[in-house]
Amino acid sequence: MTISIWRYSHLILAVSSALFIFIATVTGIILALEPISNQIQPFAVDNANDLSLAEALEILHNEYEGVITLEKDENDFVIASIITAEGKNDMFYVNPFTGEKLGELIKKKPIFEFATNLHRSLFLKSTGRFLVGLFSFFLFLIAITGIKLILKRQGGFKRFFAKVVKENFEQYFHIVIGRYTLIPIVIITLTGVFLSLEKFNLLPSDKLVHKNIENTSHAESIGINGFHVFQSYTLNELKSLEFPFSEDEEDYFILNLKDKELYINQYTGRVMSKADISLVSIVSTWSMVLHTGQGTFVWAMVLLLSCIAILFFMYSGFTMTIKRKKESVKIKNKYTKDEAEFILLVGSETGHTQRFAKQFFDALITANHTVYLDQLNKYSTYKIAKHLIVFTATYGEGEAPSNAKNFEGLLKMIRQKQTVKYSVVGFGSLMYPDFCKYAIVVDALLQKQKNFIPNLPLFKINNQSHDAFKTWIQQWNESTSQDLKIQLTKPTVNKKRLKNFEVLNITDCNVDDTFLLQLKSLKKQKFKSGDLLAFYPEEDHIERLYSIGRVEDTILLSIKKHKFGVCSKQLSTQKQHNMIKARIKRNLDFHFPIYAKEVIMIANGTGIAPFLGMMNENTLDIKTHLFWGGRTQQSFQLYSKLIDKAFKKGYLSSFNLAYSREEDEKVYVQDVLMEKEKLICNVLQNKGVIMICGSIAMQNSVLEALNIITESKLQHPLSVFENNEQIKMDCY
Amino acid sequence: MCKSIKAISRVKSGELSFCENYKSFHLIFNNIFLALNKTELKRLKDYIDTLVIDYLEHK
Repeated sequence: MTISIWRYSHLILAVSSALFIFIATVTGIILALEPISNQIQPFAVDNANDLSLAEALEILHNEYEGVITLEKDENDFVIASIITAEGKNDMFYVNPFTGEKLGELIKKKPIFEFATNLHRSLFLKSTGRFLVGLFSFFLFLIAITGIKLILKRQGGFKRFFAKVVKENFEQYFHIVIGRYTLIPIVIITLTGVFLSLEKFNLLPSDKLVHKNIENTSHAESIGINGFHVFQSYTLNELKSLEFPFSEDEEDYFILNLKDKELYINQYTGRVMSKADISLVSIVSTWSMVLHTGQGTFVWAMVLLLSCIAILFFMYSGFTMTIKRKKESVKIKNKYTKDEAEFILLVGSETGHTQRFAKQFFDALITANHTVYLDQLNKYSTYKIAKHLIVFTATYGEGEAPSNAKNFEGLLKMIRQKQTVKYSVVGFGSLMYPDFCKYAIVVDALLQKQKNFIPNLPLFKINNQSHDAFKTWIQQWNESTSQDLKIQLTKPTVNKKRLKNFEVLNITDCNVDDTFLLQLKSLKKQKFKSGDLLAFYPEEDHIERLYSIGRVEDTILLSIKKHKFGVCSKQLSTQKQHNMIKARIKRNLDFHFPIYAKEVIMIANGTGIAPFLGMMNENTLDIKTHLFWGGRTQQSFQLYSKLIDKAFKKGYLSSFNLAYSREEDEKVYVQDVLMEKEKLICNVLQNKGVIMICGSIAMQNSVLEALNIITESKLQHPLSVFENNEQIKMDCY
Repeated sequence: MCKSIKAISRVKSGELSFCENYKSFHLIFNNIFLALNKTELKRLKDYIDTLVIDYLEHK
């Protein structure tokens, strides 16, 4: 497994602090509930913050014998400590408008007490506090390396929130949730570190320094209602007000406001002394609020969700690591680099590409060739090499993967003595704009070298497609007159998750070898048109996905039988009432947009399947237009019944056909679209949605056609509408 | 607790209360508790008045 420094530190930090972070997170979840439960108590009084201190004090004075303190707690509830007429002390939540007692003070529940202690110091006093502070800092570093990894993976700041390529559940949600929670996590950890530093007195002192303004005055005494200072502050600014102990003039009111502390003469109401709250204590107050979420329901919820997210990251992160460890292949070379005729070099970030290289390596070994497999970074001289085959992924914005970073430099420095034939295979995903860019770079670099002559043109593989890899092997076999057989590792299928489906109906193959298969799930399952049905044929266990059209609660699939297709052949031989094992995969991005006013559905060939279902589900009176491209009129017969039905019911507003083999001139679906540019502009302008389903080739031509239309008529590139989620695609 | 104790005044650092049963003043200052009769309290007050606070606070 090859790993970059960022990924490595992300992992190492996570492993080393997992246990502590786990404890802190679980207790964090419990503690986040405290401010939430406090906030829902009925002690808040509307508009209390606008009441002036003078008014509040007057009310309390009238109501009680003596007032000792008036303060506001972190939940913004007003607390009064008073002496009753019987000379008893009492402290409670008070309504500052009426002086009425609202309730007893909230006592910290034992569970929160316990969680706070564990969260703060693990019951280890100072040592614990230090550890918690340290691991909080580690978590901060994990978040920072995480942000860096997302930036690299997505290809820059601008694409930070772009769509994530789904490899598996853990990887997908690790990234998706990560993007939203990284900022709160950074805030939680930084404030946590700050609070720890504060406890260890590592921050500048925040002691208040009072400046005397007036010592004693001989001005005449006025009642506290007349105090200018109490009139000028409202409860909003109040933190606490302490009344003088005795009637001695040297005893004064101590008024704590959010940003300063005032000593006030109890007779004249003049400010005797003033101290500004230091920056450190303001930051410390904010840290406390941001770290604990006290007083704000919404932020406490954010903290709660972030803590749950951290638990998920721990689970998904470790699952991914373990999976990768299991899948990673060690290079065990039989021959040295100078004994081998075939040199395979790999550029891989996560180890997926290396697996393909290993399969090719094994195939060559089985065919009794001398082979040497290595990383691109270890490029060197190869004495008797005849073939160089490069397998490389791309990382970030077309950069080299971590184990290929030095290849460019090495290639310039090291010259091969003999002529070597080369082939480059690029691995990547079409979802990124820089699809296989590094492979293109490597291909170009080799082309420039004198001693290298191309054997095969650059070959790009999308989403680790086994089929594409097989195609490349075929090409390679032809070019070198060999007959290599690749042993594709059978992925394991979780049989428990497969469900039984009964074949209700199957049509004969038409002229295009296409047929309709109607299935019914034996158990009730949730699905919609646009979801996918996954088959795992016994031969290779590789997943085959078919788009579902939901017609009268049954699953309708449109399948083209391929000459070498394992799955499609198997399905084409099914008979009525047969049982098939498969799994429904939800495809939420490709459901019928019930929120849109108008929908255009574009498909070619078997891509029409989900639309056959959607058309008949459209009961909301959404204007729907269908464009379909097929070969001949006969191809269309297969679907005509369902389309006629939708037309009759009024679910379909228009239908446009394009036949590529019917007339002299080939007409494709994109040509028909170009003729209907007015309709397309109208739909896009009215926030309508365009859905595309079918082959990748058709998707590319259609997108190109749509882009021409939007650029010329709407003065915007198509990407604007794509980002608005007005374009939905499901192509293969 | 005795029901006839009445708080006279209180601040963060302590309180002064009076017990009507025993006619005694209770002075609490942080963790110091003093039970004093009227004369004793007066004497304590007079003594504290003589203290040079500035000197003691900055020693």
